[in-house]
Amino acid sequence: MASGTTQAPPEEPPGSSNKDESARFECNICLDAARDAVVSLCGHLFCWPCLSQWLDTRPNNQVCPVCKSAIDGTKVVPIYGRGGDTTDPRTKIPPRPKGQRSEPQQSSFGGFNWGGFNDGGGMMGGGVGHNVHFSFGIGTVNPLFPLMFMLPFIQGIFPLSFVASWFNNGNPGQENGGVGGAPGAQGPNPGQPGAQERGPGPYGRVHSETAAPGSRMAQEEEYLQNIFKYIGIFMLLWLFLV
Amino acid sequence: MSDAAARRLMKELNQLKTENPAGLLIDNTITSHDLKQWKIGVVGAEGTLYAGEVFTLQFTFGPQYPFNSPEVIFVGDTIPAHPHIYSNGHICLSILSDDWTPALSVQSVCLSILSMLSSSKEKKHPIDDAIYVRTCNKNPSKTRWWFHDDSV
Repeated sequence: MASGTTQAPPEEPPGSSNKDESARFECNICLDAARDAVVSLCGHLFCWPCLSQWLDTRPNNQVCPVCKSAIDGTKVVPIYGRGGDTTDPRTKIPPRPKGQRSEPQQSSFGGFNWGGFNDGGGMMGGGVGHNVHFSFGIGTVNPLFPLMFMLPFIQGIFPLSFVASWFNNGNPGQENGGVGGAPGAQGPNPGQPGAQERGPGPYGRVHSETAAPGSRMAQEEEYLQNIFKYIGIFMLLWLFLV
Repeated sequence: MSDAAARRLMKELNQLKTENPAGLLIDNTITSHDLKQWKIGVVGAEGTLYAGEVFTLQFTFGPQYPFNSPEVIFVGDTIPAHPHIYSNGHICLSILSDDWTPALSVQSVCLSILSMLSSSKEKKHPIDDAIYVRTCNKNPSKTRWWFHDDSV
């Protein structure tokens, strides 16, 4: 409609808009208001009895009557309006197909509780490898944590001992020396420098707050770390020797 | 004629009468008592070979309509000379047999035929006209049509 005209809009015959309203929900086959309505995947509305009869008419050429796209009687979507029919649609033959329900997708990390990792982390890493297990078991999660999931791949490329030292390396407050079994610590590791530049992650910070350097707790932790390190080294040696 | 077919034909007839599409002449003799056979006039479109000429189409609906296509032929004294229309009135048009769908209607068939007439480049019957007219069944749906020419 042109704007700015003072004329009243042309009068429509009463009921014509009503007709348009109902025509939107007419079955494309019987031209009546669709009953037991189904909509094809191409978006066309039919009565289920009409569509099913059409599909029976041409069993080897099942196409949408409107757009001729391929159509599958089991993949049409039933439409349930409010009120509607109270009778069981299955009493009609053939039964109208059920709607397809799928559960909403849940992201795999949605329910992951990061805070509980100091306690339960060992269980998470347990399936990955020995070195990861002992590293997390003492609650010293380092900022390289996400790389843990790459371990199976990394292990295929680098020697195991290298990976072990690398994981302990990113731990704040931990000395690098003293570890006899870290021969690859200075090896070519493209991921390491960048990862350290990021600084300590949330866990590193928590860790340094609870155990100030030089405190008794830090000493204990260092002691524990050394024990686990030696266990790890022993396991690696054992792995190599067996 | 089944109930559903009659219902749908009644709807189509009402729609044709209210819309009164250009180029179609709705026969007033079509009544709700006998919906089985309709005659509809087709007026050749302006600017085409058939401009101003009036032909008559005869629709015959089976009990399975709209799931089966209606039988549509030209009847009367003037059968249009067209590469896809035989001199006995039979029409070689895919939507009248293989490509029929129940979403088509009398109106859409008429418009398809009108469009087919409009795109014709010469007024002549198909080359096998003489043989076909002599040997064919009275009902064109008994013919195995071979659709090969989409240009006209």
